[in-house]
Amino acid sequence: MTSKEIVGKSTPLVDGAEKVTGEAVYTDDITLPGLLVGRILRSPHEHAQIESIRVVDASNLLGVHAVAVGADAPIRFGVLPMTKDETALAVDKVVYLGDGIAAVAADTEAIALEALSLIKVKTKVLPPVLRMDEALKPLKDGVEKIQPMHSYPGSRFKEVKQSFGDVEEAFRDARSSVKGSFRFQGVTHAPTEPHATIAHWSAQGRLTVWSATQVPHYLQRSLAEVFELPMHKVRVIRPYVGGGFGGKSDPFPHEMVAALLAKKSGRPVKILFDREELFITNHGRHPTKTEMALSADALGNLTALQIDALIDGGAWGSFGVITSYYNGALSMGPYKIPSFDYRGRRVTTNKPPSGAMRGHGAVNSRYALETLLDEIAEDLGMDPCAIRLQNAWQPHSLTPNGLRITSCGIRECIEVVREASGWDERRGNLPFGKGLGIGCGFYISGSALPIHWERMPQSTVHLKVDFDGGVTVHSLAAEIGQGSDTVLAQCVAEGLGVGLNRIRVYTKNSDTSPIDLGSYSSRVTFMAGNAAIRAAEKVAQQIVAGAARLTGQPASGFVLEGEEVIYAPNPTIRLSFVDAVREALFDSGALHGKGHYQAPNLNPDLPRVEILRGKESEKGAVMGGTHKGAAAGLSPSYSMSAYIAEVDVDPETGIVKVPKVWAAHDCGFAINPIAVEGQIEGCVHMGMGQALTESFDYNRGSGRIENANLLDYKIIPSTDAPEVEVFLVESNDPEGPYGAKEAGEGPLLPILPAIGNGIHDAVGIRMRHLPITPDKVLAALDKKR
Amino acid sequence: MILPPFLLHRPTTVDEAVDLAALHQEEGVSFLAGGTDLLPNWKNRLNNQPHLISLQSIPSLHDVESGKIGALATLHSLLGFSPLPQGLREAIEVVASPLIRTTATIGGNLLLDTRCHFFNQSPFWRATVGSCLKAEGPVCRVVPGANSCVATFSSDLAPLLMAMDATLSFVGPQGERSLPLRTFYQQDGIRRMVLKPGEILTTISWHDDPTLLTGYAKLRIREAWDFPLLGVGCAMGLCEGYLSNLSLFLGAVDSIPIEVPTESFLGEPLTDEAIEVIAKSAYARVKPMKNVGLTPSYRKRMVPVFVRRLLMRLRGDH
Repeated sequence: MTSKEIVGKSTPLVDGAEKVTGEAVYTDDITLPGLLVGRILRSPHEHAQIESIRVVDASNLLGVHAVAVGADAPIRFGVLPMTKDETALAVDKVVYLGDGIAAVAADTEAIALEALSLIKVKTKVLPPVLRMDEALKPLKDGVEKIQPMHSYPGSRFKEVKQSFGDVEEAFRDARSSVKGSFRFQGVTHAPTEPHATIAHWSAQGRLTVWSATQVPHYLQRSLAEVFELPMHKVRVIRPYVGGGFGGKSDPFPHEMVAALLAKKSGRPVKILFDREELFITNHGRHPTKTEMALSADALGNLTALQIDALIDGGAWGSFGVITSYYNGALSMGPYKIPSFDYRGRRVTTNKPPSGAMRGHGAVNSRYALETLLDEIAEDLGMDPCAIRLQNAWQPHSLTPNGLRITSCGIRECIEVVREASGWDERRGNLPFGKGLGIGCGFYISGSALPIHWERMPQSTVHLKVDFDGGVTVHSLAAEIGQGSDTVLAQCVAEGLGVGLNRIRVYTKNSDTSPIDLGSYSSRVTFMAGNAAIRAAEKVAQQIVAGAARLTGQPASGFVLEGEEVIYAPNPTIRLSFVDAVREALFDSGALHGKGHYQAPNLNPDLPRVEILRGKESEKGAVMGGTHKGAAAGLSPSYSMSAYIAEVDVDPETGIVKVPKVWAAHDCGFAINPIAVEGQIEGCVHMGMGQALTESFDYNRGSGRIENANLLDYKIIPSTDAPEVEVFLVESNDPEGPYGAKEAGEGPLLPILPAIGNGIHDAVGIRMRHLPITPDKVLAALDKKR
Repeated sequence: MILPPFLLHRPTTVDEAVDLAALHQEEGVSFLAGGTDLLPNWKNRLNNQPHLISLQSIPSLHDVESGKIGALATLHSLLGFSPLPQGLREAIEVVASPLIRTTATIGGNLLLDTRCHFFNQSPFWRATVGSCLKAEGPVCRVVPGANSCVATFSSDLAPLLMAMDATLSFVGPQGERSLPLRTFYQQDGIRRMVLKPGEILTTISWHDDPTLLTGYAKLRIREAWDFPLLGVGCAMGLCEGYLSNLSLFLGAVDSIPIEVPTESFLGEPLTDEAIEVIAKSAYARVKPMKNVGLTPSYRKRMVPVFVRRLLMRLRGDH
């Protein structure tokens, strides 16, 4: 490979034209002969025993073709194999307000809705558990456990502890220590496209499900489990997806319900959520209470971090075991902190389930940590940038909890935003009401630990090159708007030395695409990108063999670039890409190549890791310690970031505005800079919503969401979005595809504390409860006065 | 969400619309202007009727001339009209979003339904808590025990046009009539106005006085989309520093706009002290409810701030 021609250049998304012209087909655009409308009857109670369901009137309604209840598909499923606690519809009882009770498939939506109104459900209302503190207490007499299959007592779902070094001693010896109680409201993904699924059973008994999902493979698994089919009898098709943000990364009950109704009616069934259903089924960021303490020595070196996080999981497990660890484990970067003590507790409540959301598990602890770090800097009389630079990890470090940091551009990130924002001259010198704040971030570039402990690659990419000169890429990596199809196309085009117009990417169909674990944990560029590069190498070898045969030169001398195959020792010997391909395939058929990716070897002393990988290291350094939960947070690489936000606080109204953000993100290498910039700008926008305006509000202490619509749930509009100046820091990761790391989630982390710290610089208050609404700002200012 | 079934009528004259309304009155009729609020409510099965009479095809209702605006003029189209009082421009520019303003009408904004967390919800949601007074339920859910509705008045244009002393003209089964806008709203979150059954708002007019200073200030969480959490409309006449006219109305802090008395300041200079007294009197007159965004105490606290800032701005302060 000589200079790079395709990767590293801003490339319009390969599916962009389809999207902006309306040609792109989303799930709801699909229609099939005989397609029925499916709707779900939802529980009006937070917690209730189902005594009887009378469906006969609904079944008899003209135009109704199937009615389903929980008993029709009682097998439990869930994204994590250890906490399968969901069913298609409630079997014995409902566990949150909105939980599905029954479903109908009908000719039209109007008939389906009428049919739902004819279903008579007799329930015995059970006392709900709605608050986290209540969930921690032992169950009161006569109160039924929400999820009997959860192994922890009462309403506790998971409790994890991790401890490294002597935290007590560190706090005792500290020159400065600070602590704080932080509160975070739940927030939700609110993608443009609501959930949508179509299911169809073929005459041969194969199930095909079209669904707006980030995780087609996990959906395929769950459908196979629930309907007791061999996995290959299930085909999942992921049409265009209108945004995910983690909100489509679980296999969902409605997907099971669509399949169930299709099975019962013998016709294809579509379920499209309305906006309220999207809110009430949630799976958004956990409401969180975080107690945190941080200490430093007289020189400003951080010495200890203590975190106690209590998170509200709502009614189901979802990704909650991982969230329980991430609130601690992902706080061990980008700063070196020798001793660390973490307790994470997740409780089950009768509220809509929490799950994975962009920046999963790391966002709330990050806000707390970066806030306390600012306070320590203030206490020690240090500059907030300087204390961050001083404590930043060096490349090739191992954190106390066993995270292997390879490339590490955190210093460059801090320095570039410090310079660009005029930090040294402006911070502390702006008029009252105007401030600058900094926040940093650290995030996994794909989880090294797969969800299923099975011996399989995390990503596989297939290539086909045929006589027509076109290159077809197959992968199940889910394009959800983040640009992963384009990254795959770029990696392959670069590897074959051809233009992007030759590349055709097929990532929608589980029958034809090799398994990829899906679009979550910021893994696709790193893992599927590496697989694509390897696949291209395999095909390139075959093309070179053709070129060698045709020219009589040794294969080792050829390079592929500029749509040509060139003999490097004598570049006058060259042929076109297509001629070389045709020569290579004439006696073998279309050229094929595949590549796969598997994260570096996990520590073989970790419990059960030998099942996954075998005792022997595959290759590369062993990752992770052997403590309980050591694999949570392990990643082949970590992104770093530093943002500075300029913040205006109106001291009389408490209204906070963010006119400008300087955002530096170390993505290793930007395969598609314009897409990375877009991710960063999107993260600023989304994180700003959690910081200032977005909140899952429950009506008067109930489990009833008060603002389940886009008017009352306050996503930041473009009118309030700041100008974002993006700086891409390229630390060239040794294992990333062309040196790349993630850019989809990590860039969300720094904006929240940058705003919080900016508010402090502006008016001298520390905001510990999110969202930072104007009434809270005024209350804090009143307290200060 | 899908709309409930209804019969759509599209009259081309006001008289035809009035006749249609009278004809179907017993079954239930609603008029459609822009529909940006009415149709989302219908989807939630709020106020929906079997007959919907669209006024959009009646040419006369779209007429716009100086100081006299057809009720069906879209907010967007008014922004291109000159002369437009500055305060009205300010009020229009903060309604919803540019996209919605291309459809939403001035008449629709004045007749906008009041809003409440317990009312503007889906049928599913309302069923979980029980319906409220405004949705034909037995009790108010915001103030248990209250026998009248306390939903929040949410029009941005009304406080400003009331300050400007605008006049409304109607055509109904009993013929034409006109009313000062100031007498139009009545203290009830459900009926909220004195519109008679079958009556159509046809024009909004005001005395065009180029010396009148007008302004509107709005509290909201986001600078687009949001309904007001407080709106302050003001019309002011200043003659060599002395107040010749001052009208001040507060929106979104009650079920109708609230007037702040200002007569005692007429003929006086608008000093900082005078502004402070007016701001305090505005504060004392409102009691926001916990039924829209942010806390009632915060919204009340913002009343004097927004009043003071608007008065100072109109006075010419920077």
